[in-house]
Amino acid sequence: MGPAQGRPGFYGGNRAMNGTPDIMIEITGLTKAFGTYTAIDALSLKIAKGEFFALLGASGSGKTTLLRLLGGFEFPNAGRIVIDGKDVTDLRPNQRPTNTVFQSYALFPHLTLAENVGYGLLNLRLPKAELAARVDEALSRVRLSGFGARFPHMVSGGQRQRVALARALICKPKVLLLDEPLGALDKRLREEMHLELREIQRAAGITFVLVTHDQEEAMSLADRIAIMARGRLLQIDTPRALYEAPNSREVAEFISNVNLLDGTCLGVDGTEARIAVAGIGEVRVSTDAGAIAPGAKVTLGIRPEKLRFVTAPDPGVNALTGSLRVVTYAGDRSHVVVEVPGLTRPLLITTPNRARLLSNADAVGATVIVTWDSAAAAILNS
Amino acid sequence: MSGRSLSLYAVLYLVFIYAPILLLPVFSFNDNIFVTFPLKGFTTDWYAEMAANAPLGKALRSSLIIVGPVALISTSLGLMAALALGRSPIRFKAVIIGLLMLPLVVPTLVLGVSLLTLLRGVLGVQLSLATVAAGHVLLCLPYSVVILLARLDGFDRSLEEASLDLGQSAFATFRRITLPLMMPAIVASLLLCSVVSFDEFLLAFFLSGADATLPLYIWGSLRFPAKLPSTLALGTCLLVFSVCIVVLAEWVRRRGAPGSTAATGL
Repeated sequence: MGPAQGRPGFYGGNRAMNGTPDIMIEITGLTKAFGTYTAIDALSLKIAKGEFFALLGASGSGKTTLLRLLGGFEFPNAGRIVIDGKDVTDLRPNQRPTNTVFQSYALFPHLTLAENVGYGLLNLRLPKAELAARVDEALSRVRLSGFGARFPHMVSGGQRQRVALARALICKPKVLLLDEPLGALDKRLREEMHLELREIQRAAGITFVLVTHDQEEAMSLADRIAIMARGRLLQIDTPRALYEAPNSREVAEFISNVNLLDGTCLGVDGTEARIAVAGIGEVRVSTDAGAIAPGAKVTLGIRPEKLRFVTAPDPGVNALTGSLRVVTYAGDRSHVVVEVPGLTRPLLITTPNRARLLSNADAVGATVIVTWDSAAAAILNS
Repeated sequence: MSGRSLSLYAVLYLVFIYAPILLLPVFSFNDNIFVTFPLKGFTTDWYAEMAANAPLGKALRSSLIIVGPVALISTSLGLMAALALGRSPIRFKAVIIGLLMLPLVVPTLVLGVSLLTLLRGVLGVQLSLATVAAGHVLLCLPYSVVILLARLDGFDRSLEEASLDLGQSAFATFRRITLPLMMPAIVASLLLCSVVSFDEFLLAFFLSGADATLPLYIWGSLRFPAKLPSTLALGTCLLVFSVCIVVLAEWVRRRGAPGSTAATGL
């Protein structure tokens, strides 16, 4: 297992089962190169049955290539893909127990919505009446009853999206692959579809693999998220663990904003480590016993909302004094930039808009005291 | 430039293009053996003469005999080339496209001489309508490839992937998805190849045996002034026919364009 593999065990997975969930997808040593460019680099991954799994990464991270390898649209240079106990590495898309919702939806423009949805059943050679009944049922499941006779260009983007979903689900796949399925929708529709997707996934009990670059989408939908970069997995974890306990600087910075402080461990007192941070002195961080040794170089990651403004810090609590540079008002909260002497990068602080102190633009330039709990900072490996 | 002078420019432009062509029907109904103004009177004699002209009928038949096979063969070959170029990772793609387009830029005169040399001198084939048709396929192929490749580029590759994903084989995907979506371009290619073949003179001049195609007959008959008016009548018929073809092609193209209401049958 390379360094790409995250912490062991499944946090989400099949909620219907106790103990170790069954594996639906097992990828081992998968490598895919396009010419000299390595899109997927010796990647290994297990996805549980019934899991909603998200591949999250910037464009060019290899997430779409990985999904295409799973669907059979690309073939790897090395490695195996096993789906539900069967090696599918060399199988074509029509021989795999997977179906795909394409980014462009890929609805057939010359077929009606009903013909689109029924396309996956053509090989079954069903009697006309039964085919029509199953198509009607699939359309009603995505709330499009009565739309069957229309053509794709006659319906809205959100409706097209739901047709694509119905078309893929009618084949009862073991795994549904979704390639940025909500990318083309506006924000409100996207949020509606989030609920709908979760509902459909729960009801159908199908393993979903979602590719997205939208971390909010991944967090609100997925049981587990794999963060991808340069064809590798940086961390595989629950949304909560990725946000609160990222295992590296890169993951911490990819998921939302984070303040990074570089330092050296001075010593550990029980569950608290004392870290000397260059330029600002000693801070205290909660840690598991034995997780960190004196002398170790560490990076602390502190999320902006975990920093607070106080008028006077309690003794023994981490605190910094700085000057307020920028306040960006965002309704329920404000994003504040505070420059601290000794730190190369200013601190980012998100504060709920209860405090009248910061609702005032006159505050810019004021001296402020910033504090955080010792449990607020995550210790990053690299 | 003001809107008025732009409109004037547009009108002059159209007159420049179409006035010469419109002279054809005018003189074809003129009761004078000499093609000159002033017009003398109305007659349909030239059309009757044209219809009674046996060699002309034979030439027309010859042209029509080769048009179908030429259009079908060029479009089939073009479709295969377009699918290979547009849908599979292929080495030296630009070079291959360049080579396919070459007949468009090589002077037809040169093509004609070299084909004649090849057929008569090297292969020893008897010249006939078949040799003309073979030459026309060569000439039509680039048009066909250009039309079909453009259409293939125009629709989303993932449509074919979706069909495979939904359980259809590669061949069934071609039949159910690729072919229907290519159909407007296929019809356009068939029509264009027909027009190119029907109209082609130089290759036919070099490669035809005893049977003249229509352009060859027309060229031959221009040497006899008495035959000119009936040739104008023939030209008028061809003009009306081509306008019908263009209208038909455009109608087919629009029907096939996604997003049009015509495509839905509403």
